[in-house]
Amino acid sequence: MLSENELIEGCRKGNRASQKALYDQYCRKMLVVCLRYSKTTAEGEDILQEGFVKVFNAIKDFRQESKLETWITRIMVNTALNIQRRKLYLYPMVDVEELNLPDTEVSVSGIHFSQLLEMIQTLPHGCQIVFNLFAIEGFSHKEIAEQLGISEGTSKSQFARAKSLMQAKLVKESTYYERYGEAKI
Amino acid sequence: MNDMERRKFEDSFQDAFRDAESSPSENVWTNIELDLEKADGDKMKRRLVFFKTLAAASIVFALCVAGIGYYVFQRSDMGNLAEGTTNARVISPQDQVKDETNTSAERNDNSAYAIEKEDAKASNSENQINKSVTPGADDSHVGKDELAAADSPSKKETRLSSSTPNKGNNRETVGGTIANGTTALIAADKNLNSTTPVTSQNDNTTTLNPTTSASSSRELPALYQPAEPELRLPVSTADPGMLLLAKLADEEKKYASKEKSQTKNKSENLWTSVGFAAGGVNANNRSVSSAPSNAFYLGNTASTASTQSKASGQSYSVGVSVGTKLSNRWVLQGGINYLTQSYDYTANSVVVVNNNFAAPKAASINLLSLDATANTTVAPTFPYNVNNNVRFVNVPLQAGYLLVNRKFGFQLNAGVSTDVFLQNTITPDGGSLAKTTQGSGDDSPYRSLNFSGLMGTEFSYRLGDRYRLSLNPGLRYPFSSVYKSDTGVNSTPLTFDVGLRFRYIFH
Repeated sequence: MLSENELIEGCRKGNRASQKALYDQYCRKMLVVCLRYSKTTAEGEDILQEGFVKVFNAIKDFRQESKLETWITRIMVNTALNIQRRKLYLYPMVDVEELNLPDTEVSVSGIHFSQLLEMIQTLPHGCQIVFNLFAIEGFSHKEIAEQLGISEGTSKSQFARAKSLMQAKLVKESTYYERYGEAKI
Repeated sequence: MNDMERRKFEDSFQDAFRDAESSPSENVWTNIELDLEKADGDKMKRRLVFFKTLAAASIVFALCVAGIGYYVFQRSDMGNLAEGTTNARVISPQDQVKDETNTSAERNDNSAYAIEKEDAKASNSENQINKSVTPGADDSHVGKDELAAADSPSKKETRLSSSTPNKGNNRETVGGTIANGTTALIAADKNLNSTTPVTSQNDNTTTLNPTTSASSSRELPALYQPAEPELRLPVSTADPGMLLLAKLADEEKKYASKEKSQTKNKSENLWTSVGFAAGGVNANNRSVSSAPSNAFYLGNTASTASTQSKASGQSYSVGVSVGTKLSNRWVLQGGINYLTQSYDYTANSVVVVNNNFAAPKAASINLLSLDATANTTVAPTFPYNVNNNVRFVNVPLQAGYLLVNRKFGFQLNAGVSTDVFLQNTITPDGGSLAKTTQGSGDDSPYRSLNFSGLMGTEFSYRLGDRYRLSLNPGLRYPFSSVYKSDTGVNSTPLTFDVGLRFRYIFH
């Protein structure tokens, strides 16, 4: 098993075996990242493919100031955003009204990530991106606004809508769980 | 819902996806690999364009260098002739001779011209010389009036001066027609030991030598359009099925086997080549040291030996070679070449060896190797052109470093060559003097075996799997003088030539 440094060095030299080893090591985690920004598995795999090609082309510039996984994740997110930006150009993100949030506390514990993923994928385009960037990647609304070329208010309202939609789905899911006693996996 | 709860909500999502994994389908990596191959292909295309440009620039550079080299050789050759050509100023002891000389000088407009400015000074000094070397010889005295008369009417003239003392019956006059149809007098003394040195004032006759022109036809390697690798990508990878996977796997297999066979065919580990080269020789470093005890040398130190050793000319060679790769970048090449170098120089005397007056020889360094006791007689003449053709067999051994080793190749070479002297042929211009050929041995002034340093570059272009055409500009410099040390002449001529070689690659 090659160490991370050996993998990086091999990829820098264009060694195909090293590239394959790097791909095998990170493809599963990165696919989940890509799926969060896409509507279908095929779309997620397209992002994954494009992202890894970028990784192999740009790895010679990787200065190892951050973890390799973080760097690859960042490339995947950027690749996904590039693809989604084209869609956002067609369907511009606008301020949306915040839905009434349910008073009950909603928890995601005990729900499998694939269910959460399905929920995220069913969100509208703008909401899906902002929700991913804010709730999971940890960006601030200001940073999201700069990245997507929208106003900070739009980012906030999109997130609020995404959150309320997610909560509604989670409530529905928990009701189902209470009724049938197990999670729908 | 307060802020804490909101943060908790977001963190719970982060936790849920922290270690989440999902396996992608197999074809994702296949497509990534194809994308990377395509990117490599694009890089190759860019490199190919770069190398094509580099090849074109290199050829232009090589041609420029060859042109400049040729121009320098040409100029050097002209300079040598202007510097080395001698004006035969001999005062004839007989009016008849003078008349013949003047007449023939007028006939030969192309042979020489007198320098007007030096006439007065030269005539004074010649007068003194005449007085000192012709004591009491009434018939050999020539005064200023005669010199002046000879100077004035003719644009180009030659004054033949023979300061041979009058020894009555011992002197013979041999008239003969030599170069350019000029009639000259050979004043010879039967008794060699009592032969008075011929006083030949080697002054300032300048002749232009029209024969020093090099012609070298060079063929440039044609640039062919190389076959560019073509990658066929799947049209869509959105929803690849088993059929597509099978097809991709099959294509990959084919590509791998093709690449393997191509790699085998592209290897260049052993090759042989034939070729020829043409260029110029420049006697850039020559000297004439103290003379050996040889009658010819004593009489002509400043003229023939110097002129011949300064001569520049053309160099041609043909040969075969073999080469092998020592490592990825280093190659070793050896072979055998037939080299001929042709020099033109101007002589101003002829030599009679062993009283063979019927066949006088053109003055050359070859005569320096004659035995000191040989019976030689030298007579000054009008300047005439002589061609010296020297032939060698070379066994070069060179190491090369491949700077570029692709379809286009660029290589630096350096090594040594063992030069085996075969023969040299002295061919006087005009045909009235006999052509003489002398092989290696004790009689030859040339070293039988010499060593030269070689340095050069090689621009090559691969044609198919088995052939390569190369252009080889290079320098050759002898480590020691091409002449034997006992001749007293030291010359290490620098050769610059451009070779064209056709290489066959063994697999």
